[in-house]
Amino acid sequence: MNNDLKKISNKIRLNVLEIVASKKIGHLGGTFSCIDLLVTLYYGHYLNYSDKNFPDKFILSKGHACLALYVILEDLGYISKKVLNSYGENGGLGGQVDIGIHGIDWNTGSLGHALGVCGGIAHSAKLKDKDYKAVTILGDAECDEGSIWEAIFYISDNKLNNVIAIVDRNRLSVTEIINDNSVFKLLPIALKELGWFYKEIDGHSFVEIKKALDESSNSLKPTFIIANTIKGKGVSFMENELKWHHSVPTKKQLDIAYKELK
Amino acid sequence: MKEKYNQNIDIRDAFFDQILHEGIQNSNLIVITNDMDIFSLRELKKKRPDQFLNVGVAEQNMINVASGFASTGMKVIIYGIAPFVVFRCFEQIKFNICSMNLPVTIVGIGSGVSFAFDGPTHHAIQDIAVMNALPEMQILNPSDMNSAKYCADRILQSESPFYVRLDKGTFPIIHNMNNFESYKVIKKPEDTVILSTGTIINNILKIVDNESGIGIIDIISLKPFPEDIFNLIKDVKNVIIIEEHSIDGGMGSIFNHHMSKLNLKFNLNIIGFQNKQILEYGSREWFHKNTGLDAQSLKNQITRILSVE
Repeated sequence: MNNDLKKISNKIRLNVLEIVASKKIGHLGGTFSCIDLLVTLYYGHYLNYSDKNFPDKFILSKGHACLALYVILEDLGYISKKVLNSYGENGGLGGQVDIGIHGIDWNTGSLGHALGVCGGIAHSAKLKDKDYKAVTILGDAECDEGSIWEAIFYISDNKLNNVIAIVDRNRLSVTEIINDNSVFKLLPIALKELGWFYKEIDGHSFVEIKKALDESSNSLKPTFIIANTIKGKGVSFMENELKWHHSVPTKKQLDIAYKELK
Repeated sequence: MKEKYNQNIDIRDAFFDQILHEGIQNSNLIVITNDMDIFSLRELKKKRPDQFLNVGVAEQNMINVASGFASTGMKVIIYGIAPFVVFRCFEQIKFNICSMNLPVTIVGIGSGVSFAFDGPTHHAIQDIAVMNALPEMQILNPSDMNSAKYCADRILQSESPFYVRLDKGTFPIIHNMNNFESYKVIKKPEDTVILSTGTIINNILKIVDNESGIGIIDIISLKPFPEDIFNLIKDVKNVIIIEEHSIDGGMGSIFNHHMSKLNLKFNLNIIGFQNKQILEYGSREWFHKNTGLDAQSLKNQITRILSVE
């Protein structure tokens, strides 16, 4: 199973790379860092869509990693190859998540909104006595946003154990290295103190990702997972390099990348 | 629907009594606030505690949570002091309510300078401008208890995002209504018409006498703007817009836009707040006097406009 997920992840990375190389636009670094998380959620059946009226909701808060999501949605049959191929074309799929696309639950692109939205979705489920949950993947730099903290307090106070927040902790923002700054010093202390199920994991270990998600589904607390990841994961020269936030590989770089991912 | 209103009821309660009534019957409705008390909603809080949510002083989160609720099929009504529920969280409104086109109504309490004593942070004199810029947003601005009641009726029957600009306190009942109307003709125009929006109309009613030939129309729906009023005023020469809002971006700008679109020409004058900071403190009446919106100043300005043409 874990080997399968790894194979799928590599396939998604390769597909993302091919598309970015051909369209010459995209955010490879932060997309590659969260692919293992996305693959586990979608292929590990952690998102429940069996109740048509009340399916789980997933929001990719770091909308600039949307291409990975689009490739997954195509692979799972939500969108056609034709729609996926419209990426980067005028009027086609763009660089942030769009609600007009089948399988997408929320518009994103501006940071700091999704956790609060998940709070509302999850709270509504509680009031209606439904089982669905709200899941989001956040960027680490995004955790600077005050609205994230407002949402953390809200979700705590309302004991919304049907919220799962996963931070793609790749330690690089657009221009800076984000080590343990005040936000990341405080997050674990605050979350534990505020009654969250808090877990720090290797965000490229399928065993650890699955274990954390399994534990979260039995938890009576809202879940916050810090997934330690590598920006540009999977391609040696992209890993932990700021410039791969939104650079496009040359022909020569592409050949190396293909070899590494195959 | 409650039928009769006590003349002394607060305009906020005229609106929220309808919300209370609907909320008691409809468990799919939820009211969310940033810690503001409304008399009529105390009953909702008591009888339907699940449907009344105080999220605390956290407006960005309030909008995000509201949109989350609305996305699951709930009807959401948010209220708070107007600047804080409009300006503080503008991007959340633009993005999570409007771009998602969700049935969330934002009730901004305290039109214009009605929170006069609380000063510049509490004035809502650019709220129409910013809400008008959002494509999905509809804007209602009631001027008395009856129109407030039917604005509530309107938002409860629609799935659109709404901004309701709601005054506070009691006002004379000026409209006889049995259902929602987007505008009311108070006096038919001849040569000149005054278009007013909100409770500032009471200052106008003090100065326009019945014989003057000056018409008065109260605009309740600013967006969509009731374009059929142009049929009523097409032969009018002078249009005077009076609003308790900045002259940039308010009803004057909205009217101007529709007028140009329809290729009409009027001698148009817009009376409201100038585009400058108001940093002083005082009463609402004092602000009106200082900015030319009190009855006497309005009379002088109208006389001047009509003598020049």
